[in-house]
Amino acid sequence: MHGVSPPPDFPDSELLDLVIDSVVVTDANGVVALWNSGSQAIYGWTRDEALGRETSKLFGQDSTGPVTPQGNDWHGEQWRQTSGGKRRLIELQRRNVQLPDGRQGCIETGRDITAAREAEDELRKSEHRYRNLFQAMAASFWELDFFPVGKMLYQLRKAGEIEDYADYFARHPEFVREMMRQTRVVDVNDQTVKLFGRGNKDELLTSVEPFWPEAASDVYAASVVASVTGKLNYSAETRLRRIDGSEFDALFTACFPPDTLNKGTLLVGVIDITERNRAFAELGRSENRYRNLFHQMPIALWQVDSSRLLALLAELRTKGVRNLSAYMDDHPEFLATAMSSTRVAEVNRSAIDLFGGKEASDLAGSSTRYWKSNPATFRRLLEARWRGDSYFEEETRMNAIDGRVLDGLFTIAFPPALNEIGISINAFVDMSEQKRSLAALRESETRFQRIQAEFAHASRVSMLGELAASIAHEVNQPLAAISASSAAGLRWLLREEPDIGEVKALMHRIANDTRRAADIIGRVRDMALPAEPRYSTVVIGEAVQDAVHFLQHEIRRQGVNVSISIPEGLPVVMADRIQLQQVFVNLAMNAVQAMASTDRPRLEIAGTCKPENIVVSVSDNGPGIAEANLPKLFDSFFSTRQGGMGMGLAIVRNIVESIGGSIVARNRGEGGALFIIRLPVHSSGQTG
Amino acid sequence: MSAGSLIAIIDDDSSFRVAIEGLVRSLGHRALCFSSAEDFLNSSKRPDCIVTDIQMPGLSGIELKQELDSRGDTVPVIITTARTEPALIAKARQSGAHCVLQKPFESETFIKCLDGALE
Repeated sequence: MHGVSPPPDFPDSELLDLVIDSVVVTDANGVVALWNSGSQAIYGWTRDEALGRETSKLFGQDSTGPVTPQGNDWHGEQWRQTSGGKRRLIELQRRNVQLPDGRQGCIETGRDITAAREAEDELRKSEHRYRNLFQAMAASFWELDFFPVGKMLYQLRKAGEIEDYADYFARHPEFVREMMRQTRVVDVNDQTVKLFGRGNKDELLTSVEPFWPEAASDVYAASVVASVTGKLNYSAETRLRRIDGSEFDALFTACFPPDTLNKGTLLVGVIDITERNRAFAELGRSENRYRNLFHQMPIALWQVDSSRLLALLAELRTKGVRNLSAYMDDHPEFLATAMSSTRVAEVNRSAIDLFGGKEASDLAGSSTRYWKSNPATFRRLLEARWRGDSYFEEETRMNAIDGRVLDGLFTIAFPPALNEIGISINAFVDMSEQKRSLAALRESETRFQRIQAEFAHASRVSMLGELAASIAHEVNQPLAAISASSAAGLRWLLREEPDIGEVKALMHRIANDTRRAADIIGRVRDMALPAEPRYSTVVIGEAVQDAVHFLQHEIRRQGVNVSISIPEGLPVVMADRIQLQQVFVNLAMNAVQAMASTDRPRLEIAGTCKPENIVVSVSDNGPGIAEANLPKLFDSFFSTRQGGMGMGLAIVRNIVESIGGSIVARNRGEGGALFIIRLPVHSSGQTG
Repeated sequence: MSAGSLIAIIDDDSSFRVAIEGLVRSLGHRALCFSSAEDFLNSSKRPDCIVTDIQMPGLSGIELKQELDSRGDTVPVIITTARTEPALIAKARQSGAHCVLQKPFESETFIKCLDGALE
């Protein structure tokens, strides 16, 4: 105490020690004049320590807190320091008074409300959190007052009406509806307003009855049963009703936490599952569509469980394998392991039929047996997986379970979404049929070509028949010459002085004539050669010359003037020499025969070179071709000659077209027929 | 057997022509060769015998005989041919040729014909 006036003497101050609250009297300067034990209890200082001290020094300068003046009486809260340095919130009431010694002073009572305030704050925060949660939840939340229903049930029990609530509720639907009417909505969150209401929250603060359709009463009843039988919560899918009367599918959850149930409060959450149900229905339909598609597809489909295989591959990766191909080279048994880990899970009808089974289970299991013929395809498939491809396809062979080997296109898809769940889909497009058809087609082609060749041969032979007289005539000339020469030679030798010179000359002539006869025979033999075409590079000019030479007797007999203008050095064509000769013999022969009644018959054969083609024209000055016949000219069995077989031009066209060429016919302006043959140049670029 | 007669040989086929010429000369005769009837007629030669083919460009052997007939030339004609048509052979015979020989023929046959024609 420092120069302060002694504390005034207060009568009955011991009484104040019986008061629980703190009582402090100060003078006008805030010096403590009276200090009770309650003050010591709160602030810590003893009476002796406090008396004569200024409160600002005791409680701290920064005493904060609102103080509300009410005339002379002040009350409010202040944060004050205790002797222990702690801060305490004090609820204060103060009054200006006159001290016993006449000075002005102040008396205050104080209560430590720190704890209470903290508790309050906590509660408020908790409330706040709860409120936030309540509001913020995307689900619709309801706070319901169940108390009146509790009362109803109590009455019921008292009346001895029930053993089994569930049974009672089932038999008394009107009771259930009444319970609903007695269940009051205390509060709802925004989502509830959105889901059930039409923008007005107050509309919903009614009973719960409007929100329960008749058909859903049993769910409400069941939730009541759950709450009264001590369950902590109850949930069910049901139908609920909006304030506007429309209904929807909902997931209803009621919570009955024990401490709130006493007060009759329960919390209900509602989730609109219309979307979810729709999604499930969609999924179901999707599933069905997939199932249908899978099973109806006319190609063989397999659903394969590759989860074990994927695990194997993952294992390799963790072991540090980078190059699967190299790994499989070093560990050849891995392929077999991989195959047997790949299991056939499901197959469609087409697959069952194609692979020789009777039902799906025949094909299920390890896929090893399907790859007996061509395991290399499976290996490449593994490599594709390893690379992370989502698709693989290869033409290959697979093995049916009945021993047949199937040629076809194998495709497998393993998109990430399916891969993650270890599923892949295989398809196998059977091309065995196709391959067989192709093979049959090729065989057919070959047979056809052979028949064509036979026809060409027959045509040549028949032409030879037609030319037989001509040929005989031609051969007879050298034969006759040989005969005469050998007779002459004998005579020369039999003379007294044999003329050796003459004989020598004769022998030469005989040799020449023999060669000539042999040539003619040779050409005839060529024409009679059997059918197999033998391709080689052919010089057009030579083929034309040979043809004309072959017909020389006919030509001379008819007195036909033949002009051949085929330049030297034309590129060669790839053809069967005999067949090409046949073409020109046929055309020339037709021309000669056509000109039988022509005064100065003239046959012209000319050739030119165009890019990639040689063009040969064969023309005559005969009567030409009747317009009506032009379109049918090259048809089989078409002939203008009596008794003609009509094969010649058809075969000519076949021969020309079989080496990639073409032939057309028309009448010349100046009279006579013109045939234009186009033959592709042989690409090696040889010339002749 | 007449030696040294002049024989005209008419045939467009050169090897036959030359061969017959050789044969004729080996028999001791002289031969003149022509490749066509026209050539012969234009040559104004008077052989002792003509050996001619039927089928030639221009006048045929038969037509040559007919021409000679119309000129009153009675030189004997031997017709040779490689043709086989019976109608043609008959026609050749009817033309008044001394012989009609079908190629190829035995040389003895020809020699006999030639001897007969030269008598």
